[in-house]
Amino acid sequence: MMAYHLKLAWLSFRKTPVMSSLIIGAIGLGIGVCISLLTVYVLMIKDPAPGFSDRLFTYKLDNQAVETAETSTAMKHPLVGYRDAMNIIKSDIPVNQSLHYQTAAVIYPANTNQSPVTERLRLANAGFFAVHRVPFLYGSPWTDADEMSDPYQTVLTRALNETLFAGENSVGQSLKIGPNHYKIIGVMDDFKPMPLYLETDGGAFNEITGALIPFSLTPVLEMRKNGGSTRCRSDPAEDTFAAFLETDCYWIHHWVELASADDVARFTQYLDDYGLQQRQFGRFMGNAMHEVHGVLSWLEDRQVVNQDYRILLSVAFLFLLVCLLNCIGLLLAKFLGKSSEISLRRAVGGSRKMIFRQYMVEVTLIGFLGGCVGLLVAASGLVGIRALYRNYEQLTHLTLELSGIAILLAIVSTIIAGLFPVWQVCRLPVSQHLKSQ
Amino acid sequence: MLSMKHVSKIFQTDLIETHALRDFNLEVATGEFVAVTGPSGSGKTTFLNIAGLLDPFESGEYLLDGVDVSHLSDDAASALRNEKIGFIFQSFNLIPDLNLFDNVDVPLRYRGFNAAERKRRIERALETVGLSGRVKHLPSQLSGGQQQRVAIARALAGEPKILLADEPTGNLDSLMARQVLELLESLNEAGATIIMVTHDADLARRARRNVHVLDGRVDDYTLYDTLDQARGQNSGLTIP
Repeated sequence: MMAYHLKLAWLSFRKTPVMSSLIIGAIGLGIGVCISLLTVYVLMIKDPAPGFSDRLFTYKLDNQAVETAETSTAMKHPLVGYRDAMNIIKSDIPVNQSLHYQTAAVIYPANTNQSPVTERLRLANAGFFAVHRVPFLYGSPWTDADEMSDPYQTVLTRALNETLFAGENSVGQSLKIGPNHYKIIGVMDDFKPMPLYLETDGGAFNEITGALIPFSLTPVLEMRKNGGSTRCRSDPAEDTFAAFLETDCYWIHHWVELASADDVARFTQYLDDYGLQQRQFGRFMGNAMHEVHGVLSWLEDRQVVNQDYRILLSVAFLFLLVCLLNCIGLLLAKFLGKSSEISLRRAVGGSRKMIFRQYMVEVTLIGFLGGCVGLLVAASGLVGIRALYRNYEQLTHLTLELSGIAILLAIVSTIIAGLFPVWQVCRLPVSQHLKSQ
Repeated sequence: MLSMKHVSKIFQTDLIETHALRDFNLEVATGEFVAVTGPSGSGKTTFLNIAGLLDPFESGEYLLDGVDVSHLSDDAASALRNEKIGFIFQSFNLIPDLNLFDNVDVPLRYRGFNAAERKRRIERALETVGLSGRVKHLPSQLSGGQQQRVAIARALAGEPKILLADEPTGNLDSLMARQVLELLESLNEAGATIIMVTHDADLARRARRNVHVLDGRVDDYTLYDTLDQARGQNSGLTIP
């Protein structure tokens, strides 16, 4: 009977192509708009460190320079200063700790035929690779010992290795970054946490590109942060990099890996104790309301998905609702146009249930076709979003899962929209329409 | 075959209450060919709709082939209609998008027959009405008379107990009307029970019995011959 109903649905589509296309188009438009925005949203809110995000934490210090009645979360800077980072990293509570910041440098390819390129450069400690589970294509990261004894080592991102070495294993080769030569000890495999939780200030949907060198070179190279946020409570005493490091400027990302809830509590206490100690030195005059955030709570705090986007998504679903309300009217008009056929079917033995099933199959087919059109609209929408927002590149790929959701959403919403029209035509007075054909 | 006792039907609006049938009594035996006549608004179509289980009625008793249909659910009424009744309408009521085969197939689909059984019945029904060579044609490719014959084939395909015809020649010219009527007569001679509503006195005279309806009541019976009214007792229609 299902095949029969599908055949009738197809005939019905052929009989009223304009009306059917309008309905399918309306559903497709509503679904397309929703799915394109939902695609971005789902990628925005997904866990960027699946399997270990519950072990990663960062913090906001209550480091007000003056006493305040209360300290709001907005008053606390999300990054940490060099002096505090160097102190807090001494804690033995975390399993691993990651310090890093981003700058830029000119990189001179080993092949002299290639022009030098300006690339992102990250200064990161050895713990960076362990904390964020960075995968390696070739070689391995540096160790804490390397950072101290032989810091002129570098790890390339896969993309940079493609650019400079055509993807070949470059481990062991030398690379000039800025004025110094570095030994390549590793090449990262694809590492694209999305959102980029470990570094939200430079754009939470950017990729990590370029090269990485040890964090211990920070005071040596005197490389300031390039991109992202740096905020200072006061001007440095002197115009030197050493003075900048001693000033209360906040620019470094500090993530810790904590093994248990107890360790989280201990680390929080450690920050409290550190804050009290600093208060005695005339710093941290706030209320010692330090915050420790997990990955997801950090993304929430940093408003990676801002309220405007949520409102936009709600508006998209309201738009779908409007489309479906239109569909109710169109479906009713389409089905009422078949009153005589429905009455005839009832007269020759079709029960209300049978007629209901037949038309719900037609509605389901319309929903399916609407979903297919919706996918095309969504794909076009995502191309548009990509063109408008370059840093959303990673977020604008329609996944198979979301494509399935689009079809399912289209079918379910069309079925819901179709219930009223189908119910109405099932209740038509049979004899009246038989006579009036 | 059909027994109505004291059946009444009222159409009600906010302002007006119309008694379409009042104390309506009629017995139709198996194998009869009954013409129901009467002026417009007399209630003959209302009677046919109630007889065909298309409309409910307010009071009285109605037995169709021994089944009391007064309080049937929609499912049960639909199944009974499908199994026991064949309809022939004035305006044919063919589905324009379906070819002849598929049009005749409609009631059989609801009966749940398998494909082979449906095919057998459809071919036989179309052969009976002389249209077996045109199964792939659409209704719009046929004349009015041919369309009515397809409608008759559709009514016959389910091998119902009774055929209900509402002005079956009303939309046909005299030649085609005669052909359709001859077809109905041959079906009746083969044992079919037929109730035909018409306002055409000449047509009514071709039936075995004429029931005249006036103001929602049976006004008069006229028996035109003495044919045995009990042909093919309780058997479904067999296509001649």
